Amino acid sequence: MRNYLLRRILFFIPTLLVIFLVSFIILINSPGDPVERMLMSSSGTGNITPPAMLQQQRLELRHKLGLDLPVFYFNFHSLTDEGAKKFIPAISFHSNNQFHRWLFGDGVNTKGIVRGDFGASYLTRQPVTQLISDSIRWSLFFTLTSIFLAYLISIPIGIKAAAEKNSRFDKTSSTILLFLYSLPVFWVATLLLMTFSNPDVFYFFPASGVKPVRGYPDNSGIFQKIYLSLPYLILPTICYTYSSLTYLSRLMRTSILEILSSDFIRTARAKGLPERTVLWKHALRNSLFPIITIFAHVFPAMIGGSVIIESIFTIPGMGSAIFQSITNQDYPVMIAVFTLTGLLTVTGYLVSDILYAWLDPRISFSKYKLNR
Amino acid sequence: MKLFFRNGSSGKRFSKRKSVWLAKYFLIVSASLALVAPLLCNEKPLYVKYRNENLFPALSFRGYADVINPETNQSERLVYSMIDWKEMKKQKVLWCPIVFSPGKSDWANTDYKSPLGEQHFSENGNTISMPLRFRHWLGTTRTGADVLSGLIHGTRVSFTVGIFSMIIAGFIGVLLGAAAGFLGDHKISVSKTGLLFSVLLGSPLSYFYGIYLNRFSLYQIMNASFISAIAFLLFILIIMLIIFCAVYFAGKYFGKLVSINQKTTLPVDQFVSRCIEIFNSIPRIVLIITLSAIVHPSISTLVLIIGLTSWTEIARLVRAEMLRIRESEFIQSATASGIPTMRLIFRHALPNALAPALTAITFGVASAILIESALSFLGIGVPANIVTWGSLLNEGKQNFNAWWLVVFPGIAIFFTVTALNIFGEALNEELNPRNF
Repeated sequence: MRNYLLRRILFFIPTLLVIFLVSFIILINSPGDPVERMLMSSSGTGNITPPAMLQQQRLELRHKLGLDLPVFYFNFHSLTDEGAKKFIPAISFHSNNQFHRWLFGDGVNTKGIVRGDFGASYLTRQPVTQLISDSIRWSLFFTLTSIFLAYLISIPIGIKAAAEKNSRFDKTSSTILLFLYSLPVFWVATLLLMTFSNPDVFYFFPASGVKPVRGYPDNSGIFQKIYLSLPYLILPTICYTYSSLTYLSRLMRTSILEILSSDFIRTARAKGLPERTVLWKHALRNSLFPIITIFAHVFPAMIGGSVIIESIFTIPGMGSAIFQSITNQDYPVMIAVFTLTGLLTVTGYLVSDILYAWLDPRISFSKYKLNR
Repeated sequence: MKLFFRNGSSGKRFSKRKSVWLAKYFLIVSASLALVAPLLCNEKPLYVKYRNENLFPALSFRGYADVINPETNQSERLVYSMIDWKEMKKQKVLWCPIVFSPGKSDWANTDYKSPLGEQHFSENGNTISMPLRFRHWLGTTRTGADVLSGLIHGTRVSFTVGIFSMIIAGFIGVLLGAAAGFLGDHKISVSKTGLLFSVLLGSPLSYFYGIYLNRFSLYQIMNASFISAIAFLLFILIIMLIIFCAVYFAGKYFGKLVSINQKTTLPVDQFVSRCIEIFNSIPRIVLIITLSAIVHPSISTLVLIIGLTSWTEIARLVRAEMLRIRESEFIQSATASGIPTMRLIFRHALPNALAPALTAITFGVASAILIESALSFLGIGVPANIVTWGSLLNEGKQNFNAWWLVVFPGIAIFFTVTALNIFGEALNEELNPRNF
């Protein structure tokens, strides 16, 4: 177990590195010059800067952001640019480079993403961390609530479908779930908005936001806040939840069926236990492992889905943060959200693997297992 | 392939079979609609007789024709895309079944004309009620573009993205999965010095001669055309491979010279499995959205992005299947009879391992179609002038009274995805019976 844990956590590091590298590659390849963007967003005051001074500003900003540094720790290049020596490769190493600075900061102005500093937004010049920390709460709230709801609904469905295999309930539920699985979430969201928050049809729920436009009244308690926010939360929660129902309940069904065909269940039945006890006491407990650990798969899927749902319902979460940063070409925010979702996913996988190994000791003894 | 839906193979699932039959024919019909979309809905007529000349504007690749004006006896150039075909004085005409191009405005019917409501048609400057032939059967958008023709062209885009991205993903996934599953960690034995040389010296050299020296032409050709870009990339890959192998053999003979003849095995399986795990750890939709935000939006880059990010599931399944096949008797006897490894993989093992990959590819097409329409719904990744199901839905979101803009594209996406899922489920049942 300890060795398995160690190996698993060691493997966490290269994955993190790859996520950082991919983010960095996307960042430096993003179109447009960050210096120009920053100058543009700061020069909205109306006074005209002379070109020489602008050039000076540009150079200073470039130096301050570290954009005059080499990109990576080493690079390959030609010995000279012309002549036959062009075909002779050379290598040079740089201890101070953009990637290093991006990761660990320059020690003066920036702290680096390792310490949670993603730089400043091009648009508002606010620190990205501040922008993200406001929005990550809503995303986590919706994701966790709807995962909880999805589990609450799909586990009973899966149990009933497995207990009455090939019954009418099994068939209807599997058909309905297949249809639910194929429903594109953006269509469902639009249809729900069109039907239930349309002044011409039904106006049950407000169309956008997560709280009243005027904000909560002063000194309102937590319950009053929840009560005020509830109409805003229902439609997004439905959209978040329904798409993972199918996966979870099908998994529950196969998992129980697998257990029900095993030897110890036959023993339990043979010794005369009622079917109820067999199902709820013996089968259920053993079949819960995969569905608990599948949490790690549902979670990133929901984070991904949040981009669509949040931008439709205008929820101020990570999804709409990345969508707005894309439409505004605000790359630092985009990269921060990308890295953070990657981190959350990897952590989810790590937790699920450890949980699985803890629940099922066979895992840690197998030399190598690719369980996803 | 007799695998597909033998009739009555499992009698108790007859109702399911019927749905599979429906799904199959729905997919065939929509794929053929997608194929003939430019002939099916086009504002250019199929055939026109104009000034005694027979023209076929919808079928023309050239896009223009030179017609002699009988009054002045001079040649006039007709540019097909510039003409208002409905206003034109023609002797004979054969229209396409749907007489509107996707995304082209019909100025008489702007501002969300309902499919049930009244539509207008302008003839010789007068606005009259719409004749049945020119009706917008599924209504129009804000700019007056026909929804039905947009839907049919959207089918084309969706199927293109779905099928081609899965071809890419399937190619990568099957190759890597087969290598990982069949070769394992101990099958390929290489010289230690050769491996050391090729990793430390070969990879930088192949990068230098393959990519660094060609970076400018690479950049130019990427913006040129798709086929030349692919060809050039292949050429560069071959150069890199040659250099890499050359360095490996140099290292091997160097080892022989200094008499270090140690061998080691290539951990192909470990490598591929780690790659799969790392790839799976990056949230796919967020990666696709981020990537399509920074590249120039076009269908081919979207295909590439989706294809390059969705091979892991296929690779995983093929790997598992190959692990099983590797141990089977027919492979053992084939190995004993001295068939080379490459032939063993591609001729004997791989055809037997393709069944799970096939189902994964079917589901993959569905998810690629979903991703494409979600992206175009958000307005990312697909160029703004291309009409897709997602972009129609996006227009519907801006005006909820235009229900036809929300309902019809949504139904198109839903039916296609459901059909693909049913088809994939049935394929899975048929090809991997032991899972059921």
